[in-house]
Amino acid sequence: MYLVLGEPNRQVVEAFTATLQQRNRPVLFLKELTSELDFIWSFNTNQSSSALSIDGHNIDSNAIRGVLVQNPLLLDSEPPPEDAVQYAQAEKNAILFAWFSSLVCPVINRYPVEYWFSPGVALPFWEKWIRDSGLEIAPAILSNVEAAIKKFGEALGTGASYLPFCGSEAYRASTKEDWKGIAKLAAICPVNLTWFIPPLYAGCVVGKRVFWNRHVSKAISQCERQLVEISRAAHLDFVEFHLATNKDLVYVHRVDPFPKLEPFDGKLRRLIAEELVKYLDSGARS
Amino acid sequence: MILVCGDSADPVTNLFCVRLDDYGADYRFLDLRSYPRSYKIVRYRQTDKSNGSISCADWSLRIEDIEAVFVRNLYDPNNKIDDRHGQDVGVALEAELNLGLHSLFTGLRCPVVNSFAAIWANQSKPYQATLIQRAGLLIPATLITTNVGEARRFCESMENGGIYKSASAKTIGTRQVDLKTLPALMAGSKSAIYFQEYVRGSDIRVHVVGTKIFATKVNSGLVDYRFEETGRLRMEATSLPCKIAGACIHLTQRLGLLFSGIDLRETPEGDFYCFEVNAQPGFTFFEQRTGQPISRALWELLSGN
Repeated sequence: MYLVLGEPNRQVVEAFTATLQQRNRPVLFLKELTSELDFIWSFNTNQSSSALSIDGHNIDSNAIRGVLVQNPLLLDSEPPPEDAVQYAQAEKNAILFAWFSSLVCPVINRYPVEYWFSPGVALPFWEKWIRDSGLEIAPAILSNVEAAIKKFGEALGTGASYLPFCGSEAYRASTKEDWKGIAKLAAICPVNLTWFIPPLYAGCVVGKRVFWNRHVSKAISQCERQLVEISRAAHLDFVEFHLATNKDLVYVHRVDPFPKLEPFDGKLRRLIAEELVKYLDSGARS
Repeated sequence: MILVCGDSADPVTNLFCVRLDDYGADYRFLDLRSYPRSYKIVRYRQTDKSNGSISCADWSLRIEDIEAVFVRNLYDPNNKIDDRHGQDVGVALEAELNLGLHSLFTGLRCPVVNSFAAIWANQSKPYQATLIQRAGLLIPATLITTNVGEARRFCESMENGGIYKSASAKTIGTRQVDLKTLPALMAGSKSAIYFQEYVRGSDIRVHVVGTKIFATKVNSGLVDYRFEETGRLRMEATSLPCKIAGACIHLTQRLGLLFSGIDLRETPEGDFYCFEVNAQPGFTFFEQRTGQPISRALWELLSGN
């Protein structure tokens, strides 16, 4: 039995499920540990055991073959949830995280705690690993000073990307209107800007392999070892990197520890899903 | 130069700054209460360097001159959200502000008490319990369940009965299980409940600062001393067996922390159980009542002495 836990990324889960079904492997989905489920987890200084019942299936944790972890559940903040709802959600997230972290079967990803509970683990938090691997990051500025932001943008010449620390989106700033918007934002919160250097190449790490969303140059493909190294340093097996080039240099533009596989076509998603299953079956864990 | 980042309304931050003044420390205070409106932040980042400045009406500090950071009150659930532009925008803004500050600290090659990666472990008490157990400290027998029968069996099997508490950082305190009301408790819960054996003994709060230990015995009549009336709490400095002191330091380091507040309980038989590790401990509360020089140790850690 395989489990998929958490709030799903549709593209990832569809491809993963299809791969397992093709091989006649049962898979169950567990978005959150609600009180409707029959869940029992006991542990002490010396031992731990757990079991749960989902959709009529009784599962002992020792019988789980592999787990694919998706995203923690987030509450909508509009309208503001009641205290009791917030409390219940915090409890479910805390227990789910602790539980999958404790499982002895292969788990992708067995997230370090900051990934699950912080609002985001953006590029600055990966800097040390990127630096240690020998790769570069694009120059960036964090500022609420309009003159400094304007000077940074003008020096680039290529336009800038606004990359909020929360979330995984990037927004191009190239027109006068864009920069007016950036200035308005900076007035209430320092903004994080970096180069905008299309095209971007998406590389998905699964274990020791890297899948690219498009044909890549030799310079990009030579980064594969380093991307695997960065993933390992972050204690992750499944990571999506976005790289860009500027002249001869390759830059890490963004890292997503909760891969969505949006830049990848259906065929590549299936290949990635097959590799995820293979990696789980090989017993590899971070 | 030490950068202290906290809320001027927080008594712990305030008292720490008073102590730093007493020690003649070189530091600057970034007040989250007036951040970012009263501050100018410029930080440039490239692969191999980071520079820029933080400034306000009273001071200006080059990022390269920051030698240590003491930060608290970020991601505080008690912080009021600025909802002038809507609750969801307010929540996102708060997160963006906090992550921006932490990204600045993460790029520094100096001690940060405590770093971004290290402050999240007590968002999940059962997760932290597994780490505590791996560090060599005893943890209470635990059951997390939605099953009333299992909960009853567990509590009945415990010599001193069972307690329940929150699994997340949203604390409800520690509460004794009443078997008569257990079914109603579980029926009213939207998640599994976190039960533990009740461990009898004396509470000890341990502050770990680098490799220094400050152990404080706390006497209270309640299951959870945090909810005792301040006037009824009695505290005194105490010492720990070497093995337990070593385990506390080891646990703090394993969690990536430079400074922690660890909750222990010593049983009448001399065993030490660990319940929680706090990455942003309210240490001044203990310092004021015992005279233990935790602030000084923190200052020495931050200033490299």
